[in-house]
Amino acid sequence: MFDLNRAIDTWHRGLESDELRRGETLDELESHVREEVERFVKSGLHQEQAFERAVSRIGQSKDLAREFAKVGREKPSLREYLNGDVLALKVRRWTPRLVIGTGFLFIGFSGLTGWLGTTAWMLARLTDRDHAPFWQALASRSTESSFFLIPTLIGLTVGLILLWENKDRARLLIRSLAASFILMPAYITIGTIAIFLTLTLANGTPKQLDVVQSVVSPNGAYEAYVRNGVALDGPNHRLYIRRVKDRHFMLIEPLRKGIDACRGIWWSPDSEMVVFLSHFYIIAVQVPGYNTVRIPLPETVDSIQTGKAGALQDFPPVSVEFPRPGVFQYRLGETGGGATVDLACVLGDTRSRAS
Amino acid sequence: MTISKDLVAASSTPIILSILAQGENYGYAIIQEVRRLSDERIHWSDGMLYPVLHRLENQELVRSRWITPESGRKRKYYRLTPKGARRLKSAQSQWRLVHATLARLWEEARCLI
Repeated sequence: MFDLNRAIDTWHRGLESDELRRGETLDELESHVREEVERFVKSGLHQEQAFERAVSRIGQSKDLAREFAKVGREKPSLREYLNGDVLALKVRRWTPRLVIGTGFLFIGFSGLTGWLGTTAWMLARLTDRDHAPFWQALASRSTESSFFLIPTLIGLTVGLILLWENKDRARLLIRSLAASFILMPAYITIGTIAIFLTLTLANGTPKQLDVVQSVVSPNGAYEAYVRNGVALDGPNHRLYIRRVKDRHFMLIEPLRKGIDACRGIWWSPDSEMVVFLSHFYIIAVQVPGYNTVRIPLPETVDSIQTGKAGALQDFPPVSVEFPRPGVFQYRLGETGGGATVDLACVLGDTRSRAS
Repeated sequence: MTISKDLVAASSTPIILSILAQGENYGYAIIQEVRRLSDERIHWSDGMLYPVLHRLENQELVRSRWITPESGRKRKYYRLTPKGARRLKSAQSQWRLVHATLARLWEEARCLI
């Protein structure tokens, strides 16, 4: 059964464009349609036919909106300003745009935080804490407290919800993707510059402040040193060797954060080998070439497993000697173990002699 | 015979003002009046009238108000303002001049087909 009121409600909703919602335009159009329906019914038409004819005579929604838009572009009257019609129209016009704009802003923001987090994460693995403190700090936050992950997810979710509420989802989705693609080169460019600058600066002059131990080779060509980063729960030692003439450095080994620390550095007399000793490892490095051998210390390995290691004062005294080129000998305390290591053999993976 | 769109658009304002000069009226009745006076030969799209009325109201040539009769639905009535009356007078002069010019021209040239 045809329901005129329901049909008019449906037609009314279909006309709800900004231009037609101005003032009481829709009410006026509805009044017109009702008059027309009444006239057609009186002339013998069925109510449904009368409604369809009346609606078709008043014109398509887009045509009406276009005609009323022309009126809307004209200067509003003083009365329209005073009764709030102009303000209401502006609010109605701008609200969807604001929602869409905010949606894009959130998605852009999530892209930015996502990019920052990812860049920090990557750079933190390409550089060390001392030379890239900014990125290291960001990476630390991004992984430890979801500094970037949470805003990225929130931004993405809110942005998509705001855009999803809009009628024209497909177009907005395409626009979002386009915006991402437009922003992507900017992110990549900024990221590349950041990586380039970070690595360039990192290869320049390391800060001397963080060096906690440093021993120059007997011939003066190399310097072995230890940096201590910031860690809340203990030492954060990193072992480096630097070429003195051009200050080019090489990170040999980051020790286990908070638990391991460098105990000493010894250079061989021929300056071709340097030995670092930590709580848990003895690390020998050949220069040039930076071939590295890491030997776990049996006594302290047991301690790691039982969780008792890490206290510097508990570590027995150590002596390191170089009986002949390419060979080093270490001894732990009075009764502790020790070994003589032929570095060339270990590196060649053929044999190692221990006593 | 149908009247061209341009002529319909150009004549809509003086026609509406002229109808309202006879008294307060509402959109639907104005359309019916135009049909009657033109012997159904001037066909306005029903929706076209309202933007014109709103424009005239913006220009302060007409004023509107909602009236709900005791038995009936509410309607938006328009009436002519003094400014609208002056505009109508001016339009009458212009249209009379155009009409007289064309009539004389066609009469003298005997070019009516």
